Amino acid sequence: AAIDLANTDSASLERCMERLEERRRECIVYAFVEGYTHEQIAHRLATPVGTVKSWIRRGLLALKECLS
Amino acid sequence: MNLDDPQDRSVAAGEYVLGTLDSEARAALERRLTGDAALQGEVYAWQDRLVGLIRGVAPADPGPQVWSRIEAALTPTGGSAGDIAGVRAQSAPAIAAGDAAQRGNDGGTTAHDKSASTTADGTAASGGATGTAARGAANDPLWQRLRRWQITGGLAIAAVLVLASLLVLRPPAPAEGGERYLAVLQAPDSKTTGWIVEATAGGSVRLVPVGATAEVPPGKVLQFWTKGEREAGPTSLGLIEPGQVTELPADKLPVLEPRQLFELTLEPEGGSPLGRPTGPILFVGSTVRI
Repeated sequence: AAIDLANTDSASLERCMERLEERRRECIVYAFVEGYTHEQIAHRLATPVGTVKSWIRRGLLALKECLS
Repeated sequence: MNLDDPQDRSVAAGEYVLGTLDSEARAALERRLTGDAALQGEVYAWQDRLVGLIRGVAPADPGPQVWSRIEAALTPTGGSAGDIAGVRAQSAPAIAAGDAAQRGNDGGTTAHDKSASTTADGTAASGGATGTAARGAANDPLWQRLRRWQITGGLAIAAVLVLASLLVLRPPAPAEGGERYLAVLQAPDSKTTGWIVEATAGGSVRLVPVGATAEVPPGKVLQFWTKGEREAGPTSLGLIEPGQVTELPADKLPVLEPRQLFELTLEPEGGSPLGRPTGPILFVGSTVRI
Protein backbone atom coordinates (compact mmCIF):
# COMPACT_ATOMS: atom_id res chain seq x y z
CA ALA A 1 0.00 0.00 0.00
CA ALA A 2 1.74 3.17 1.15
CA ILE A 3 5.09 1.48 1.49
CA ASP A 4 7.74 2.66 -0.89
CA LEU A 5 9.68 -0.16 -2.47
CA ALA A 6 10.93 1.81 -5.44
CA ASN A 7 14.00 3.07 -3.64
CA THR A 8 16.89 0.79 -4.58
CA ASP A 9 18.75 1.62 -1.38
CA SER A 10 15.78 0.35 0.57
CA ALA A 11 15.65 -2.75 -1.59
CA SER A 12 19.26 -3.64 -0.83
CA LEU A 13 18.73 -2.84 2.84
CA GLU A 14 15.76 -5.18 2.80
CA ARG A 15 17.78 -7.93 1.16
CA CYS A 16 20.65 -7.50 3.59
CA MET A 17 18.39 -7.34 6.63
CA GLU A 18 16.79 -10.58 5.51
CA ARG A 19 20.18 -12.23 5.29
CA LEU A 20 21.03 -11.36 8.89
CA GLU A 21 20.53 -13.96 11.54
CA GLU A 22 17.13 -13.35 13.04
CA ARG A 23 18.36 -12.36 16.50
CA ARG A 24 20.84 -9.86 15.10
CA ARG A 25 18.17 -8.38 12.87
CA GLU A 26 15.74 -8.07 15.76
CA CYS A 27 18.31 -6.25 17.88
CA ILE A 28 19.00 -3.71 15.14
CA VAL A 29 15.31 -3.07 14.53
CA TYR A 30 14.54 -2.76 18.23
CA ALA A 31 17.38 -0.31 18.71
CA PHE A 32 16.88 1.85 15.64
CA VAL A 33 13.15 1.78 15.02
CA GLU A 34 11.92 1.41 18.58
CA GLY A 35 14.71 3.31 20.29
CA TYR A 36 15.40 0.54 22.79
CA THR A 37 18.57 0.43 24.89
CA HIS A 38 20.76 -2.68 25.21
CA GLU A 39 19.02 -3.41 28.50
CA GLN A 40 15.52 -3.06 27.05
CA ILE A 41 16.41 -5.36 24.14
CA ALA A 42 17.95 -7.88 26.54
CA HIS A 43 14.79 -7.79 28.62
CA ARG A 44 12.58 -8.13 25.56
CA LEU A 45 14.53 -11.06 24.15
CA ALA A 46 15.18 -12.61 27.58
CA THR A 47 18.90 -12.65 26.85
CA PRO A 48 21.95 -11.36 28.75
CA VAL A 49 23.00 -7.81 27.86
CA GLY A 50 26.44 -9.02 26.78
CA THR A 51 24.85 -11.31 24.22
CA VAL A 52 22.70 -8.47 22.87
CA LYS A 53 25.79 -6.27 22.51
CA SER A 54 27.54 -9.04 20.61
CA TRP A 55 24.53 -9.62 18.32
CA ILE A 56 24.37 -5.91 17.52
CA ARG A 57 28.09 -5.75 16.80
CA ARG A 58 27.99 -8.78 14.50
CA GLY A 59 24.74 -7.65 12.93
CA LEU A 60 26.18 -4.23 12.08
CA LEU A 61 29.36 -5.72 10.63
CA ALA A 62 27.39 -8.20 8.52
CA LEU A 63 25.05 -5.45 7.37
CA LYS A 64 27.92 -3.18 6.39
CA GLU A 65 29.62 -6.01 4.52
CA CYS A 66 26.42 -6.92 2.70
CA LEU A 67 25.68 -3.29 1.73
CA SER A 68 29.20 -2.52 0.55
CA MET B 1 35.68 0.48 22.17
CA ASN B 2 38.92 1.52 20.55
CA LEU B 3 38.34 4.40 18.15
CA ASP B 4 41.70 3.80 16.51
CA ASP B 5 40.77 0.31 15.40
CA PRO B 6 38.94 0.50 12.03
CA GLN B 7 36.43 -2.24 12.84
CA ASP B 8 35.70 -0.90 16.33
CA ARG B 9 35.32 2.58 14.89
CA SER B 10 32.78 1.45 12.38
CA VAL B 11 30.78 -0.53 14.92
CA ALA B 12 30.91 2.41 17.35
CA ALA B 13 29.65 4.77 14.63
CA GLY B 14 26.90 2.25 13.83
CA GLU B 15 25.89 1.97 17.47
CA TYR B 16 25.97 5.76 17.77
CA VAL B 17 23.40 5.91 14.98
CA LEU B 18 21.40 3.03 16.46
CA GLY B 19 21.39 4.93 19.75
CA THR B 20 22.74 2.09 21.84
CA LEU B 21 26.06 3.52 23.03
CA ASP B 22 26.24 4.13 26.77
CA SER B 23 26.88 7.67 27.94
CA GLU B 24 30.62 7.25 28.32
CA ALA B 25 31.15 5.71 24.89
CA ARG B 26 28.89 8.25 23.25
CA ALA B 27 30.69 11.15 24.87
CA ALA B 28 34.05 9.73 23.76
CA LEU B 29 32.82 9.33 20.22
CA GLU B 30 31.31 12.82 20.12
CA ARG B 31 34.55 14.37 21.39
CA ARG B 32 36.35 12.59 18.59
CA LEU B 33 33.70 13.45 16.01
CA THR B 34 34.57 17.14 16.04
CA GLY B 35 37.47 17.49 13.69
CA ASP B 36 37.56 13.85 12.57
CA ALA B 37 35.95 14.00 9.15
CA ALA B 38 36.51 10.29 8.52
CA LEU B 39 34.59 9.35 11.65
CA GLN B 40 31.85 11.79 10.70
CA GLY B 41 31.79 10.01 7.37
CA GLU B 42 31.32 6.67 9.18
CA VAL B 43 28.42 8.10 11.17
CA TYR B 44 26.75 9.53 8.11
CA ALA B 45 27.33 6.30 6.18
CA TRP B 46 25.52 4.43 8.95
CA GLN B 47 22.66 6.92 8.91
CA ASP B 48 22.46 6.37 5.20
CA ARG B 49 22.49 2.59 5.55
CA LEU B 50 19.90 2.46 8.31
CA VAL B 51 17.54 5.28 7.41
CA GLY B 52 15.55 2.90 5.20
CA LEU B 53 14.42 1.12 8.36
CA ILE B 54 12.43 4.22 9.22
CA ARG B 55 11.52 5.33 5.71
CA GLY B 56 9.95 2.12 4.60
CA VAL B 57 8.80 -0.56 6.93
CA ALA B 58 8.57 -3.34 4.38
CA PRO B 59 12.26 -3.14 3.52
CA ALA B 60 13.20 -3.79 7.13
CA ASP B 61 11.09 -6.92 7.35
CA PRO B 62 12.14 -7.95 10.83
CA GLY B 63 10.30 -11.25 10.59
CA PRO B 64 6.91 -12.54 11.66
CA GLN B 65 8.03 -13.16 15.21
CA VAL B 66 8.70 -9.50 15.95
CA TRP B 67 5.59 -8.18 14.31
CA SER B 68 3.32 -10.77 15.90
CA ARG B 69 4.67 -9.80 19.32
CA ILE B 70 4.16 -6.13 18.59
CA GLU B 71 0.66 -6.75 17.27
CA ALA B 72 -0.21 -8.79 20.31
CA ALA B 73 0.95 -5.91 22.45
CA LEU B 74 -1.27 -3.49 20.56
CA THR B 75 -4.44 -5.54 21.01
CA PRO B 76 -6.51 -4.03 23.82
CA THR B 77 -7.39 -7.49 25.15
CA GLY B 78 -3.71 -8.53 25.21
CA GLY B 79 -2.38 -8.93 28.73
CA SER B 80 0.67 -6.76 28.26
CA ALA B 81 -0.87 -4.20 25.89
CA GLY B 82 0.04 -1.17 27.98
CA ASP B 83 3.53 -2.46 28.48
CA ILE B 84 5.04 -2.53 25.00
CA ALA B 85 2.81 0.16 23.52
CA GLY B 86 3.70 2.41 26.42
CA VAL B 87 7.38 1.84 25.96
CA ARG B 88 7.16 2.53 22.27
CA ALA B 89 4.92 5.56 22.37
CA GLN B 90 6.99 7.13 25.07
CA SER B 91 10.38 6.04 23.90
CA ALA B 92 11.14 9.40 22.35
CA PRO B 93 10.77 11.69 25.37
CA ALA B 94 11.80 9.04 27.86
CA ILE B 95 15.00 8.23 26.05
CA ALA B 96 15.70 11.84 25.33
CA ALA B 97 15.33 12.62 29.02
CA GLY B 98 17.55 9.67 29.81
CA ASP B 99 20.03 10.92 27.32
CA ALA B 100 20.03 14.33 28.92
CA ALA B 101 20.43 12.78 32.34
CA GLN B 102 23.39 10.80 31.12
CA ARG B 103 25.08 13.75 29.56
CA GLY B 104 24.44 15.95 32.52
CA ASN B 105 26.11 13.57 34.90
CA ASP B 106 29.78 12.74 34.68
CA GLY B 107 29.68 9.58 36.81
CA GLY B 108 29.34 6.63 34.46
CA THR B 109 27.45 4.10 36.56
CA THR B 110 25.36 6.61 38.44
CA ALA B 111 24.37 8.33 35.24
CA HIS B 112 23.32 5.06 33.78
CA ASP B 113 21.12 4.20 36.76
CA LYS B 114 19.60 7.63 36.58
CA SER B 115 18.87 7.12 32.92
CA ALA B 116 17.14 3.83 33.60
CA SER B 117 14.89 5.32 36.26
CA THR B 118 14.06 8.32 34.08
CA THR B 119 12.95 5.97 31.33
CA ALA B 120 10.83 3.97 33.73
CA ASP B 121 9.20 7.08 35.17
CA GLY B 122 8.55 8.56 31.75
CA THR B 123 6.85 5.38 30.68
CA ALA B 124 4.80 4.94 33.81
CA ALA B 125 3.63 8.53 34.00
CA SER B 126 2.18 8.45 30.53
CA GLY B 127 0.29 5.17 30.68
CA GLY B 128 -3.13 6.79 30.24
CA ALA B 129 -2.41 8.54 26.99
CA THR B 130 -0.71 5.56 25.40
CA GLY B 131 -3.60 3.28 26.27
CA THR B 132 -5.82 5.41 24.06
CA ALA B 133 -3.27 5.34 21.26
CA ALA B 134 -3.06 1.57 21.45
CA ARG B 135 -6.84 1.16 21.23
CA GLY B 136 -7.04 3.50 18.25
CA ALA B 137 -4.25 1.65 16.50
CA ALA B 138 -6.02 -1.69 16.72
CA ASN B 139 -8.67 -0.46 14.26
CA ASP B 140 -6.23 0.79 11.62
CA PRO B 141 -4.85 -1.25 8.74
CA LEU B 142 -1.47 -2.71 9.52
CA TRP B 143 0.45 -0.39 7.24
CA GLN B 144 -1.00 2.64 8.93
CA ARG B 145 0.22 1.38 12.24
CA LEU B 146 3.58 0.70 10.67
CA ARG B 147 3.73 4.27 9.47
CA ARG B 148 3.03 5.49 12.95
CA TRP B 149 5.98 3.48 14.21
CA GLN B 150 8.18 4.92 11.54
CA ILE B 151 7.23 8.37 12.69
CA THR B 152 7.78 7.47 16.31
CA GLY B 153 11.18 6.08 15.44
CA GLY B 154 12.09 9.26 13.61
CA LEU B 155 10.83 11.33 16.48
CA ALA B 156 12.87 9.36 18.95
CA ILE B 157 16.03 10.41 17.17
CA ALA B 158 14.91 13.97 16.56
CA ALA B 159 13.76 14.37 20.15
CA VAL B 160 17.10 13.23 21.49
CA LEU B 161 18.81 15.93 19.49
CA VAL B 162 16.32 18.65 20.33
CA LEU B 163 16.03 17.88 24.02
CA ALA B 164 19.74 17.37 24.43
CA SER B 165 20.35 20.77 22.93
CA LEU B 166 17.66 22.38 25.10
CA LEU B 167 18.54 20.74 28.37
CA VAL B 168 22.23 20.07 28.32
CA LEU B 169 24.14 22.33 26.05
CA ARG B 170 25.18 25.70 27.28
CA PRO B 171 23.58 28.55 25.34
CA PRO B 172 25.95 29.85 22.70
CA ALA B 173 28.07 32.77 23.83
CA PRO B 174 26.92 35.94 22.09
CA ALA B 175 29.31 36.70 19.30
CA GLU B 176 30.88 40.11 19.44
CA GLY B 177 30.02 42.36 16.54
CA GLY B 178 32.14 41.94 13.48
CA GLU B 179 34.07 38.80 14.37
CA ARG B 180 34.96 37.04 11.14
CA TYR B 181 35.38 33.34 10.53
CA LEU B 182 36.54 31.30 7.62
CA ALA B 183 36.14 27.60 6.87
CA VAL B 184 37.65 25.70 3.99
CA LEU B 185 35.42 22.83 2.96
CA GLN B 186 37.25 19.81 1.59
CA ALA B 187 36.23 16.41 0.31
CA PRO B 188 36.75 13.97 3.23
CA ASP B 189 38.71 11.46 1.16
CA SER B 190 40.63 13.39 -1.46
CA LYS B 191 41.02 16.57 0.64
CA THR B 192 40.16 18.52 -2.47
CA THR B 193 38.94 22.00 -1.60
CA GLY B 194 35.51 22.71 -3.01
CA TRP B 195 34.00 25.59 -1.09
CA ILE B 196 34.87 28.41 1.31
CA VAL B 197 32.55 29.58 4.06
CA GLU B 198 32.96 33.13 5.20
CA ALA B 199 30.88 34.32 8.15
CA THR B 200 30.70 37.62 9.97
CA ALA B 201 28.96 37.88 13.33
CA GLY B 202 25.91 40.07 12.94
CA GLY B 203 26.43 40.07 9.19
CA SER B 204 26.17 37.29 6.68
CA VAL B 205 27.39 33.81 5.84
CA ARG B 206 28.71 33.30 2.36
CA LEU B 207 29.31 29.91 0.80
CA VAL B 208 31.58 30.32 -2.21
CA PRO B 209 32.50 27.55 -4.67
CA VAL B 210 36.24 27.63 -5.28
CA GLY B 211 37.26 24.47 -7.01
CA ALA B 212 36.16 21.01 -7.89
CA THR B 213 32.39 20.85 -7.66
CA ALA B 214 31.07 17.44 -6.82
CA GLU B 215 28.72 15.90 -9.28
CA VAL B 216 25.16 15.88 -8.01
CA PRO B 217 23.30 12.87 -9.39
CA PRO B 218 19.75 13.36 -10.70
CA GLY B 219 17.18 13.26 -7.92
CA LYS B 220 19.73 14.40 -5.34
CA VAL B 221 20.49 17.82 -3.90
CA LEU B 222 23.26 19.49 -1.95
CA GLN B 223 22.31 20.44 1.58
CA PHE B 224 24.33 22.87 3.69
CA TRP B 225 24.77 22.18 7.40
CA THR B 226 26.55 23.61 10.38
CA LYS B 227 27.34 22.35 13.85
CA GLY B 228 28.96 24.24 16.70
CA GLU B 229 31.46 22.46 18.93
CA ARG B 230 29.03 21.95 21.77
CA GLU B 231 25.93 21.30 19.71
CA ALA B 232 24.44 17.83 19.64
CA GLY B 233 23.60 17.81 15.96
CA PRO B 234 23.94 19.79 12.77
CA THR B 235 21.49 22.51 11.78
CA SER B 236 20.37 22.72 8.18
CA LEU B 237 21.14 25.95 6.40
CA GLY B 238 19.11 24.91 3.40
CA LEU B 239 19.67 23.49 -0.05
CA ILE B 240 22.28 25.01 -2.31
CA GLU B 241 22.97 25.11 -6.01
CA PRO B 242 26.25 23.53 -7.15
CA GLY B 243 28.75 26.11 -8.33
CA GLN B 244 26.83 29.15 -7.09
CA VAL B 245 27.51 31.60 -4.30
CA THR B 246 25.00 31.33 -1.49
CA GLU B 247 24.53 34.11 1.03
CA LEU B 248 22.52 33.86 4.24
CA PRO B 249 22.02 36.21 7.17
CA ALA B 250 24.32 35.16 10.03
CA ASP B 251 21.38 34.97 12.41
CA LYS B 252 20.36 31.76 10.61
CA LEU B 253 23.32 30.16 12.37
CA PRO B 254 22.65 28.54 15.74
CA VAL B 255 26.09 29.73 16.86
CA LEU B 256 29.18 31.28 15.32
CA GLU B 257 32.47 30.27 16.87
CA PRO B 258 35.89 28.80 16.16
CA ARG B 259 36.06 25.11 15.20
CA GLN B 260 32.45 25.19 14.05
CA LEU B 261 31.73 22.60 11.39
CA PHE B 262 30.24 23.43 8.03
CA GLU B 263 29.47 20.72 5.55
CA LEU B 264 27.66 19.80 2.38
CA THR B 265 25.90 16.46 2.13
CA LEU B 266 24.11 14.71 -0.68
CA GLU B 267 20.44 14.37 0.16
CA PRO B 268 17.27 13.20 -1.56
CA GLU B 269 15.31 15.78 -3.51
CA GLY B 270 13.71 18.34 -1.20
CA GLY B 271 16.43 17.83 1.40
CA SER B 272 16.93 15.42 4.27
CA PRO B 273 13.58 14.15 5.51
CA LEU B 274 14.97 13.74 9.01
CA GLY B 275 16.30 17.23 9.67
CA ARG B 276 19.82 15.88 9.93
CA PRO B 277 22.26 14.66 7.28
CA THR B 278 21.37 11.27 5.84
CA GLY B 279 23.61 11.21 2.80
CA PRO B 280 27.39 11.17 2.35
CA ILE B 281 29.47 14.22 3.22
CA LEU B 282 30.86 15.77 0.06
CA PHE B 283 32.72 18.66 1.66
CA VAL B 284 33.45 19.46 5.28
CA GLY B 285 35.55 21.95 7.21
CA SER B 286 35.69 23.90 10.43
CA THR B 287 36.01 27.60 11.13
CA VAL B 288 39.01 29.61 12.18
CA ARG B 289 38.71 33.18 13.42
CA ILE B 290 40.37 35.67 11.10
